Parts: sequence; structure tokens; C-alpha cells
Amino acid sequence: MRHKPLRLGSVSLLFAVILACTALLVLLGGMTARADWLMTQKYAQRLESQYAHEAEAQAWLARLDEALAGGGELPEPARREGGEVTARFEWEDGCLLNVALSQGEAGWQITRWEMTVNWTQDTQMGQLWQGPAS
Amino acid sequence: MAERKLPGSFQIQLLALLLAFLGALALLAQAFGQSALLSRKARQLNQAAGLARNAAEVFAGSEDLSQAALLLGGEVEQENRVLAFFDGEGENCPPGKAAYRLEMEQQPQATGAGALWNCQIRVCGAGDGQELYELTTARYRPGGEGGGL
Repeated sequence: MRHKPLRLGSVSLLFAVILACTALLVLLGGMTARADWLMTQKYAQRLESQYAHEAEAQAWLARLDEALAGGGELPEPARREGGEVTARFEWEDGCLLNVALSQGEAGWQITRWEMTVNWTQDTQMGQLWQGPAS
Repeated sequence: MAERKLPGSFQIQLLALLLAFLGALALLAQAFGQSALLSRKARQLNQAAGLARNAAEVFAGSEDLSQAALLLGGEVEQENRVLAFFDGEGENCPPGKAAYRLEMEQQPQATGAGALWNCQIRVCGAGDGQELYELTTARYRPGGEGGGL
């Protein structure tokens, strides 16, 4: 039986293909892990600031409660219009809180406590082809 | 003139190639390990933030700490502290099988009318006790004599 001689070139090629495939997998894995980490960090920071704002607003509510009972000046940014008190908080990170209280028979009631986040749609499409110019 | 091959040169070259291949593979494996570690860290932080958020919502909706402890599946420790344990899936479990330990501590703040409670929520790894995430929130309950709400 004749043995076919093993050439170094074919072995090198095989190793190179294996390394290229593995490197591609590592690259994809690394990019996915990094994207996961960045997204999670963003989520964690958003939660932290959202609840910090909630704490600030709850402290404001305590001051408002006192002011409503004592008839004193309402804490900023509260505005009184007839039987309703409204307030709009706006933070630097884009968080918004709209609060409304109305006076009923049973006293002041919170009718609105809505926290939202300013969001601007990203309309940038990168280098995508936008279609033929009409 | 015919090229003269040195004896054993093929084996040496093959060995060198194999060593280079193994070295490159080791570097790639190391990079892959780092990615896996980062991915694990991201998963832990995500779960810790989710648990802290649940606890913050429970705190906001509860009248007192014992109710919050009941909803979280934990226990009130001392007067102003709740301790709860969760497994890797974020489900309640006994301390021995836990992956996360959640601590919720509330502090009263003096107000002229109702009750303002500041709350600090910490999520740590149950094994090493390393802090993974921390959240601060507050809850105001009107109803004091000097209040208008």
C-alpha cells in the first residue's frame, strides 16, 4: 500500500481555517457579551435615577401635604388652579413626572402621578439606500 | 542542483506549526472565557436590578415592612429591615440554595404631617456577599394630623 505524503502546506491551511472560524466565533461572542453588558448597565442606571426621582418627589409630596394643611406657600413646582394642584418635574436625564391633586369632599386626593421619559425616535438609517430619488 | 533536505526538518516544522496553532487557540480560548465572564456579570446585574425594582415597587405599595416582607417572601429582621433570598432564576428560595440576597432597609424621616420613609435596597451575591446593585427610593403616607392630603 502506498502512503500519500503529508504536506506541510495542507496542514497549515487546515489550521488556518480552524483558527479563522474560532476567531470569528470569539469575536461574535465578545461583541454579544459587550452589548449585553452595556445594555444592562444602561438599564441599571435608568432604574437608579428613576427611583431617586421618585424619592425626591415623595419628599416634595410631604412638603406639599404640610403646605396644603397650613395654607402656606406651595413648594415648587406646584401650581394651584382652583380646586386643583398640578406639578411638573423635569430632570436632566429626560425623566418627567406629572402630578395632579384635586380637592374633593374627603379632602385632597392624588389624581395623577405619572412618570415618563422623553424619547426621541432615532431616524438615522446609517448608510442604507433610501430608494431612488423621485 | 537538487535541494537537499535536512533530516527531520519536516517534523520540526510541523511541531513549530502545531505549537503556534495551540498558542493561537489558547489566546482565543482566553478571549472567549473573558466574554463568558462578562456575559455572566451582565446576567447577574440584570437579575439584581430586576429584583431591586420588584422590591422598590413592593415597598411603594405596602403599608408597612411586614407586608412588604410577605410580598417579597422574606422576613423582617430587626425593626426596619427585610431580608429575602432568591435563586438564580429570581424565585424565592431558602438561604442555603440562594444565589442572591436582598436587603431592604427603611429609615423614617421627620415631617410635619404624614410619614416619609426612605428605603435602601441592596442585592448581593448570596455566596460571596458582594454587592451587585443598590437602589434608593422613598414612600410618603399622608394621614398625619398636620396634613392636608
